[in-house]
Amino acid sequence: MQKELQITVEHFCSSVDKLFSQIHSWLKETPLKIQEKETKIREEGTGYYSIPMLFITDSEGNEIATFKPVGALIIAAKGRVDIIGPFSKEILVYLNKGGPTFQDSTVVKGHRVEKHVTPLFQGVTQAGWYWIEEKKSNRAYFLNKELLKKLITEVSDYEFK
Amino acid sequence: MNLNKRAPLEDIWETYQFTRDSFKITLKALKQKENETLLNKTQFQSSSTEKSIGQIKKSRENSEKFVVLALWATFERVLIEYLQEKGKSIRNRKPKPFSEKFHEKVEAELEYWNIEDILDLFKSIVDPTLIGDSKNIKKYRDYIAHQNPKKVPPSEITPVFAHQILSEIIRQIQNS
Repeated sequence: MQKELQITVEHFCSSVDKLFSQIHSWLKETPLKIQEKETKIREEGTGYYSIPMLFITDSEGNEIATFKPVGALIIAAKGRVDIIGPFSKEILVYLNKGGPTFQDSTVVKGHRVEKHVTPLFQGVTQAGWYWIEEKKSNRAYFLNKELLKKLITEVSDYEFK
Repeated sequence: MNLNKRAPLEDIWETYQFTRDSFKITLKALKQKENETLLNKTQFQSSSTEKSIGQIKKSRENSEKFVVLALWATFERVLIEYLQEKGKSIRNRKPKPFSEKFHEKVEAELEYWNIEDILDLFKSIVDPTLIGDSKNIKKYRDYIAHQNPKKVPPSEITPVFAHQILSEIIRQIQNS
């Protein structure tokens, strides 16, 4: 694997590890059970590499949510983990502070002037895992405990007490 | 040409949202016995619950790929129509008989221009970073369309990113 690619993959694996530690911490006072198992991912130029998956079940062993790393090489993001539940799926992406940006120009009297940098998504105030609300495609939400629980409910109908 | 062609991307995006919600509803109908009658007169009625759930999940995965194909197809059409519109002014140049023939040839051959070359034309009015991202979307689109099992997948594109990037390119063209 090329060095730059290796750094990208290592950063992704480290981000996933931190995410899963955070999930363990956020859910430790709930009745949900969390198991980690290793899986392998292959991306263009990386060969196979190992990474954990997270399986969340309720106290009766019913599937609640699976956190499945998709890959490090994601267009306009630094990584992706899918949250898959019995009823639907949501997507988390790792974004650097500010997120992906583009240059935009203001047209003044028929001439393009004043280039400025605009973020592709609003709300990316720090590096971390984000959920993009698909119904409002330009809004990203930083993953915290409340959002995690909301997304788990979204994919599984599991109600946190 | 009506550059309010952002609407076609929005139609596709809305359809995708409704499709995702439809899968969610169907999965609930399959898993919750009290909603069983919703499955009457559908393929799910004669299929086992496990098989049906597997089929829905597979369809959901496919819909994520197909929305990228659909967004790309419409996006490419928008670019080509923009060039065709811009090309129309050739017709009025003197000598007119020559210009009309010249325009006919350009318009006919535009459809066969390499899309990467077309995208490069727009770097003068669209942020080149976005153009670069769109080429990666095209690469992913080609992988999905050709389904070559021997090829390793290229960089994955999350549907909402494809929608945002392609919509922003169209917006920048519209505002140029």
